[in-house]
Amino acid sequence: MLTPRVARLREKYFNTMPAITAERLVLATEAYKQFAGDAVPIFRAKVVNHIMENMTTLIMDDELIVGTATNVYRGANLHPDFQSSSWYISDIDDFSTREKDPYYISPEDKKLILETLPYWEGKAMEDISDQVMPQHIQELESDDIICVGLENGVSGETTCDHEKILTVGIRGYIEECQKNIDEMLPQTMEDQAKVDFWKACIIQAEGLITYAHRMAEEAERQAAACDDPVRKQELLTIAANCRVVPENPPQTFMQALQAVWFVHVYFHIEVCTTACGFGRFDQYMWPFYKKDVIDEKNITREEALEMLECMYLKSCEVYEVRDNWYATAFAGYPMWQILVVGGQTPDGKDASNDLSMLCLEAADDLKTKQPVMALRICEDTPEELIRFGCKMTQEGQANPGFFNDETAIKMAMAKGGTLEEARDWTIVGCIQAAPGGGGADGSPDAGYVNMGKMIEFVLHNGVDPATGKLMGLETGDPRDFKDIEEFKDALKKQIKHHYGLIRTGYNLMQSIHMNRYPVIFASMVTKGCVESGKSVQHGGALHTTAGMYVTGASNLADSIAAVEKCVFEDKDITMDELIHACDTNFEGQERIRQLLLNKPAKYGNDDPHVDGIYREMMHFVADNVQSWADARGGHYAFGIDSQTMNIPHGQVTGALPDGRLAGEPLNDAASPMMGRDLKGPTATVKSVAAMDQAPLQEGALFNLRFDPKGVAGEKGIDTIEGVIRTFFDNGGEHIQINVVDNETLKAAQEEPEKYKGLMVRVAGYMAYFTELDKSAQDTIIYRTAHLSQK
Amino acid sequence: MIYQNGDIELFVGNIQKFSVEDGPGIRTTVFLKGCPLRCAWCHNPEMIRADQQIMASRANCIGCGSCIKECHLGAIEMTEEGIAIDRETCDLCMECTKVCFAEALRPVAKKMLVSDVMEVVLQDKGFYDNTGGGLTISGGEVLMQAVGAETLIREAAKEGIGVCLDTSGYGDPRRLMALASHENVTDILYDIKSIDDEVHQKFTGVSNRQIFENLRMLCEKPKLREKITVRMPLIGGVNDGPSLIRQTAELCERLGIGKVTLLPYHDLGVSKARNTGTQQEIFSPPGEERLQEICDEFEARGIKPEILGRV
Repeated sequence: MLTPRVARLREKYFNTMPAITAERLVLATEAYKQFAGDAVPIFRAKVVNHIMENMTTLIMDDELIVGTATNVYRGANLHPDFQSSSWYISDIDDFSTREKDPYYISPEDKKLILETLPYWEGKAMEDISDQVMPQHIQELESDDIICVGLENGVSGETTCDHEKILTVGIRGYIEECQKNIDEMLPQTMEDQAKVDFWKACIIQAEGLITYAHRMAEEAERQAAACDDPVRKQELLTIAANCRVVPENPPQTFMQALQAVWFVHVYFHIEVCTTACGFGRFDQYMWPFYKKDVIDEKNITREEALEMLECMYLKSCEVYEVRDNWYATAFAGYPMWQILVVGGQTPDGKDASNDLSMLCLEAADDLKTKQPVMALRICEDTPEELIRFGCKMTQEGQANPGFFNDETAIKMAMAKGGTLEEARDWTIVGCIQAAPGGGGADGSPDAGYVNMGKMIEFVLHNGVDPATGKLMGLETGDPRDFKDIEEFKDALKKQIKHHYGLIRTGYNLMQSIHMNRYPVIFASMVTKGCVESGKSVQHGGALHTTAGMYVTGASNLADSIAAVEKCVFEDKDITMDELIHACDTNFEGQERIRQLLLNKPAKYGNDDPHVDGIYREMMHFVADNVQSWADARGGHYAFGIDSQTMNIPHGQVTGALPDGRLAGEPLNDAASPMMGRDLKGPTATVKSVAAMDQAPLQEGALFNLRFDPKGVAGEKGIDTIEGVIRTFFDNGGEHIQINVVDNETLKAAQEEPEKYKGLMVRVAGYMAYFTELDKSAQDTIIYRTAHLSQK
Repeated sequence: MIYQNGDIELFVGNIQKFSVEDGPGIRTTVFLKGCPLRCAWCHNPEMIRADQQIMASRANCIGCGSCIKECHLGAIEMTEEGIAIDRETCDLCMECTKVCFAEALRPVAKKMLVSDVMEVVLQDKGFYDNTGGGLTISGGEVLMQAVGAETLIREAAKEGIGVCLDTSGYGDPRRLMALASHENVTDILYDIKSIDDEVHQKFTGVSNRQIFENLRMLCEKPKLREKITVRMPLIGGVNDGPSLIRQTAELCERLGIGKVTLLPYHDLGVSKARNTGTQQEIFSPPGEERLQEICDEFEARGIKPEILGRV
C-alpha cells in the first residue's frame, strides 16, 4: 500500500513528460570559457564545481530525499562535450514530437540552448571520433553492421564503493587525496598526472558538499515559509540531513538514503552517464536500517519503506538524452539503475536480511521501471524472498531479474576478482556480474556485431547485399563450400574480423577519453582510483573490463542449422537457390521459406544439435575477444545481450537462411528467435542454459515469456520458481520472466508467424494459439484480459 | 509392436512439455491416440480414433499446391475456404504431409518407441525434481495402449520419475489395476462424465457401468484411493444438474475420494475436430453461479474442489 505522499509523487512521475533544460549547458559553457588552460582533470573538475555552486536548488512538495540533476522535475541535461551539438541543433524541434523517447523543451530553454550551442561546434567527443575513426569502421557503423561504443557517451556504468562513502563520508575522500598530494613531489609525468587527479577529486568532492549545503539552505528557506507544521518539520529534517551528508558519515537510515542519492545524482550531473548501479543496497544500508528500525526503533518499518520509495522515485528522474538511432537501439528511456538484493556474503553465507525484502516490497508497491531489481539467489537464500520475487513476476511486473550466484561468481572471478570479491559480486551495467566492493569498472558497451550481416557476408563473399559494396572479408564463393564446416569457418573469420575492428575502434576511443574526458567524481568513489591516482578511464579501478556484445546470435545458430540440414545433408535446395531465395526475400518462394522454417531444428527447443552450434559459435567469440586487452590495461569481456539493437540491426539485414524475412528484428538477446521456440518454456530454458554461460564473462540476458494461464494461482508461483531453479541448476546466470499480456495475444492474431510458439494451455488440452479459429482466439484474449486484471 | 530388447511402440499424438494442469508440479504429458469413448464435447477430438489421421490447419497453408500434386488419389483440392481433403478417398499414405513444408498438413500421431518417449520425458527431469512434477500419460485413453503404457511407467520408475495417469476409467479392470498399482504412479486423474447411465450413453457412446466398477475397485485399496482425483467435465444442461452432481458427490464421499477437479466446457475442440474432418456440436459451460454451487456440493462432503481448464 502506498502512503498518500508516495501515491502523489508516483502520480506526478507518471504525469510528467521528461524535459531537456538549458541550465547545466549554460553553466558548463561559462565554466569552460573561464577555466580553460588548467590540466585536464582539474579543468573538468572546476567546470562541474561551477555547476554545483550555481545550479538551481530544487526541493519539491512531498519530497523526503532531495537532489536533482537539473533545474526541473524529470529534467535531462545536454552534454555537448560528449554528444555533438550538431544533432542537438538539428533535432531540437523533433525532441518533443519524436516517437521514441520524446523530451519537452520550453521555448525559453530552447532559445538559451540555441544561443549556447554554437560555442560547442566540433568540440564534442562525437565530433572528434568522426574525424579520427577509420573510414571503413565508420561505414560499417553507418550500415549497422557493427557498433562501437564511447563515441558519443561516457565511460560510465559506475557501481561505486557505497560502503566506504557511508563509512568515511566525502570528507574522508578529500582527506585521503590531500594526504596523497602531500606525500608526493612529482618527478615524472605519471606522478604529476596523479597529483592533478587527486586535486581534481578534491575540487569535485567539495562541489558536491557545496551543493548539499545549498540544498540545506533551500530547505530551511522553504521551512520558514511553510505554514504546515508537519511539512515544516520534514523540511528541517531534510536541511539537517543535507548538512551531515554526504560530507560526513550518516547517522540515520534517512541520512544514508540521502547520501546514496546525492552521490548517485551527482554522477548524472557530472557527465551524460547511464547504467549507474545502486550495487548491493541491502548490504551497505543494513547497518543503518538495523539501528533505526530494529535496534533503536527510531522509525517504523513502514516509515523506512516510505523513505525508500521516495528514493526509488528519485531514480526515475534521471535521464540520458539519446539521438534518434540510440533511442531506437535502447528504447524506452532505459537507465539500467540496478539495485541488487540477496546473495551471499564474502565468506559464503546467506547475505539477505529484512531490508532485502523491504527493497522488493518497495518495487512491488511502485511498479516503476526504475530502479531495476536484481535478486541474487544462492543455496541459502530464504524461500520467502525468492517467492516474493516470483509473486511479482507472476503479476506481470517482469521484475525482479533473477541471478544465479554460482554462475555469476565464476564470471566475477574470470574478471579478476578473488573468491571473496566474487562472492560479493554486483552488477556493473545491466546483467553483468563484476567483482564486488565497488572496485570494478566495466566500461560501457565496447560494441556489437550484427550476426545477420555476418551471414550475408558469407553468402556473398564479403559483399553487403544491401549496398553492393565489399564490406566484409572475402571468404570465398559459398557455392564451392563442401560441407557445413567450411560454412562455419567462413562465418568465424567474418565474426572475428569484425570484433577485431570494434577493438581497434574502441581502443582508439578509450585513448581519447583518457586524454580528454577523465570522469573525476565517479572515479574517486570507485575503489582503486584514489589509491592508484588514476581515473577509471586510465584503468584506475581494481578490476577493469570492457564489454562486447552481439545481435542475432540465435539467427546465426538457426541459419547454420538450416544450411547444414537443407543444403548439405538433405540437399533439398542448393546453396545457389538458398542465396537467391534470401536475396529476393523469398518472394514467390514461400515454400522454400517454410522448409527452412520448419525442417531444421531451431535454437530454443532443447535440441542438443542446434544448441551445440549456438554454444560453439558464442564460445568462439568469447575465447577470442576475452583474450584481447583494451587501451587501459583491462580486457574485453563477451556477453549475449542486444538491448533493443536487434531492431535497427534487423532493419538493414536481408532475409536469412533461418527463414527470417528481410527487415524483421533479429532475436532478442539470448532468447530464441521470436516464434521459433515451439516446445514451451522448459525447452527454451534448457536451450539457453545449454550455451554454457559461465565462460561468457558478461553473461547472457534472457527474457522468458509465460502465458498467464500457465502460471496462475499459488501453483503458478511454484511453477515460476521451479523454472528459475532448474535454469540455474543447468548453469544459467540471469532470467527475467514476462507473463504475456493481452496486447501480445492481439499481436499474435495480427502476425501469427511471430508467435507460433504461443501455447494455449488448459487441463489435458493443448493447441497453438495461432492454429485456432479467430473466434476461439478472441475468447482467449477476452478471458486473459480478465485474468490479468486481478 | 514389442521388440526383442523389450522396447515397445506407442502411438503418440503429442508430447507436451510444461503441462501444469495435469497433475502436480511441472509435467510432461504424453498423449496416446485412441479412445473407446466418443464424448460429444471432447477437447482432444484428434486423439479419439486409434488409427492415423491427417490434421489440416488451413491457417498454416500457403497455397503452394504441392499436396495436390503429390496425392496419388486426387483426394485433395483447393476450395474457396482453403485446402480440403476428401477423407473417404484418402488412403492415409501420408505423402502429402511429407511435401507440406508449411506443416498445414501433418500426421496427428506417430509411432514412437518407449525409449524415444523417455528421451523426451527425461529432458525435463530437472523441472520435475524442482516442482514435484513428472510424467502424465493421457490420451485418448491410456488403457487402449496399456502394455506400452506399463512399460513407460516402468522406465520412468528407473529414472525416479513419478507418473500421473489421466484415464476415462473405461477398460479392462486388470490392466487398470496393474497400471494404478505401480509405486511410481503417484496420481490418477479419473474422469466421471455422468453418473446417470442414460446421459452417459447418449453423450459418450458407452455405458458408465464399467467405469464405476473400476473406480470402486481402485477405491477399495486405500493406497490407490489416495492417488485419485476425480475429474468432471461440466457441460451446461448435460451433466451439471443438481441431482446428478449430488449423486456424484455422494458417491465420491462414500468411496473416500478426497479431490475433485471441475473442468467447465470450452469449445476449443471444435476447430481441431474440423481440421481432422469431423464436426463437433457446440455446448456451453455452466454459469458461474452454478459452478460455485457445484463446488459447494463437494466441499460440503469434505471433498476439495478445484476448477481448472478455463481458457
